[in-house]
Amino acid sequence: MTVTGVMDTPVELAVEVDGLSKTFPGQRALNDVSLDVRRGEIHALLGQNGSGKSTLIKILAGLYSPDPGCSISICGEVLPLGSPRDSHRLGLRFVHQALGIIEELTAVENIALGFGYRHRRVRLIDWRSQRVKTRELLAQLSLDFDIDCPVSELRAVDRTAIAMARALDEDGFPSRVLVLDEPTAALPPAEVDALFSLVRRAREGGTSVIYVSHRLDEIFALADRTTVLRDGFVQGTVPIEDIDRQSLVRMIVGEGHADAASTIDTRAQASSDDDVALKVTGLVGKVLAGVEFSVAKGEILGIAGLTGSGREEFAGCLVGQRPGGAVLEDAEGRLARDPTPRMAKDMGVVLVLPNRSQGAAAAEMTVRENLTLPHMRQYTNKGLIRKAKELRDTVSWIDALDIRPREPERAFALLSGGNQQKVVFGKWLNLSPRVLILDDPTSGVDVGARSVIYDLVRNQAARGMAVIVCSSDIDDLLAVCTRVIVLSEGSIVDELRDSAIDEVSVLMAMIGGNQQA
Amino acid sequence: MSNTDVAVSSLEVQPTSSALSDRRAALAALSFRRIGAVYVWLLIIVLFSFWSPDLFPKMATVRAIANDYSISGLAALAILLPMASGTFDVSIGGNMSLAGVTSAWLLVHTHLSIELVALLTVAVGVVIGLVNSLVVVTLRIPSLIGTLAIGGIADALSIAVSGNQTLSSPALAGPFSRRFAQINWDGFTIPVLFVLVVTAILGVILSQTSSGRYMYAVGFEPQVSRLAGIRVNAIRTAALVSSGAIAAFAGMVLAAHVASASPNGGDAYLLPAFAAVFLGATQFRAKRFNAVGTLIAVFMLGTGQYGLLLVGAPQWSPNIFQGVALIAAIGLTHLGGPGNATRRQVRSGRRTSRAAAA
Repeated sequence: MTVTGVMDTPVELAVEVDGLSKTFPGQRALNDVSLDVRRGEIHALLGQNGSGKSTLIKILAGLYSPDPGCSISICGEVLPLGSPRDSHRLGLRFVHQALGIIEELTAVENIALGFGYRHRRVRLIDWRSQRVKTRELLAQLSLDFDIDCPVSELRAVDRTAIAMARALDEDGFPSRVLVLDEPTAALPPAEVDALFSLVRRAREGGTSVIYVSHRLDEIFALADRTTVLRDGFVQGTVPIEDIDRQSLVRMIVGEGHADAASTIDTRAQASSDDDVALKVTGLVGKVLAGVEFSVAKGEILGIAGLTGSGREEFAGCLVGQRPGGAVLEDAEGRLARDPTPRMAKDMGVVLVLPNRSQGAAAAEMTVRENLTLPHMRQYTNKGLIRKAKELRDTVSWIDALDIRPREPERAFALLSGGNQQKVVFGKWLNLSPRVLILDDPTSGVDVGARSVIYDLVRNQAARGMAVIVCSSDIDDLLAVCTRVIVLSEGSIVDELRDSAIDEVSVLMAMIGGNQQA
Repeated sequence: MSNTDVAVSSLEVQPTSSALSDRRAALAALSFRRIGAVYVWLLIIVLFSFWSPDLFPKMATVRAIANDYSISGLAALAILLPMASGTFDVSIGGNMSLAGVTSAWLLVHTHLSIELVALLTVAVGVVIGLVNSLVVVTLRIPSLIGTLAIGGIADALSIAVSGNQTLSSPALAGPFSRRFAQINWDGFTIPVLFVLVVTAILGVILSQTSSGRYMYAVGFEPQVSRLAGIRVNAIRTAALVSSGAIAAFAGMVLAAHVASASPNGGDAYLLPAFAAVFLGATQFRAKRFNAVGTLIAVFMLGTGQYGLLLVGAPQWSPNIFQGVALIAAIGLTHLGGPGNATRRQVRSGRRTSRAAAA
């Protein structure tokens, strides 16, 4: 691009990382990582959660300082470490999952947020040159949309494009390397191709791209080479045309994990599956496209999938908590079409949200009030609350779930995360539901509370309750599920049962490793 | 419930003896944090008793405050249920004006019985409540804006009905006024009874019924409530209809009290009502709008304002007092009170859990 003092390097490297380590208290996130990204290449960075990808990116961005003894150069120039300003000066640009775009503003205004407004005399914004600038930047990516409408009205991929254009803006310093952190996680499947062409166009402009993703499909479609990280170690860097899916998955997951199925014996017994508790057809949401499944009494069904696969909205759409719809049919053949939470509740289908999410519980209300809220009918007599019964039941739930402290009148907000989650569980179990849907049940929960929750789930299933566990945490699924449905792009791509449920298989299905390459 | 049967319910097993915990409970019930407004009220009474010993500490003062501020009390209670369910209703000023003018017009221009006039007036309030609900609940316009607009329309209607003049006639001053404002027991007029009855009813609804529980839940967390199967829209509609009806009733009592109806007579009651409800929410159970707290706040503010006028303070001073008292009371309860206590508990809770983890 504009600065060319380093064109004489034999292989033109945009990024050279050598011997990079990063130690956090009690944990080594990166271990002697070396990596090179060529000029004008799309370089995929692969690895599971916790493999060190984000740490690496944050070091490149200058947000973390690595352990001493490593070197990073950008196009031959040494990158001073731990300085976001120097990272920017040398041409490293980042588009994070949270795009940093203000929905209510227009493309012009959003791009101006990046490099500042052009001013005329007396600090008046020079909107004309601002607009010209925006058009130029978007033209680089061959984009043409209404730059004056609020970006909330644009497609998701156009919002990503604005963030990319803003990142690529030269503004005095060359932009040499564009780092895209899971750019497709928030995109509807239909817009992924549009994103690919954006990335390719950025490459044609001479920019190198570091592309972080979990999805093998995207890597095979887009990347030139890929570097795989596992547990902070580089597993290797390979050209995409030299590797197949199976080998790539093995690099990501590791051979040692292949016998990870040892956790199975702690699982609840699979029940007779002819006893259907709930049949679901036409489950749709923002991403979900007509999913169909059923769950048996006593079964613990896991729902797995990457972010953006529809897994996040699965639980909410089932009971009408999120926009979407479904047809529910219970054991007696009663139907609920596009149920509201109230209809679902009346069918005995309840949703337990993670305690931190909005909608899980009323923080300002007491433990007692939260525990009894969904079934006040049990606790009223001619409209008046039967306080003694309410308190008695509250205390027995506090004991049964070991909620601490044992204070029915304590405000929910004052409980620890694990205890909050127990209250959220209790309020639904109190209803003796037939189908219990758990959405990310262990998020923000410590190890102790986690095992309490697992035990709870198994006990409830043993009593004949059907349980659906939607989780971003594979450990949840491995720990309790008797069957796992894997989602990708809004549809079921795989179904695993009993002994077939292990980390590798679930991950493979999630990232698309089971499809033929 | 079967799965909790194993657990032994044991509220009785408390570390402290019951006598001690009784005393502690009694002390807690009387703490400044819980009923700060009562102490401020007592302070005001003592202050004015010293300031104006000849005029203030008299039964006549008690009667005057009780009688004068009962209508303010009704206005404040009107917005209690909407506030509890997280909805502003600022249409009560216009509603009260329209109700006063409506009852006056009906008395002057028809031969309907007093009871029927009262019923029709309250019905007008119910209609306002339903329109508010249409705007706020169905059309999802923010309640502050939606009810402000409806209140403006109600104000305009009351001007239209009254021809923009204060309506007064013997029909108003006669049995109507007697029935709804003048009947008294030992100098305490019937609006005092009204406000006590409405306080009792709303208090029972909020603290003793599932509807009341739902209102608080909807006010705190509409999402949680929806997921719990609560009919959120129905609850909010019920709250708005109750405020419409109570405000119209208050407007009618006001017309009876002054034996005339002016087209903007209700406007003056709007701000004091909010002051009282917010002040009331700092009492008993912090952050929870409640009936008795609201009533105490009304009479506390009333005592201060009346006292100021009695000692010859300027006409504008009561309003300043009201503003200062509101901020002071809420500030005090929050500084030494529940807000801070919550934070303290959270902090110590964290410390405990950390210690437990270690």
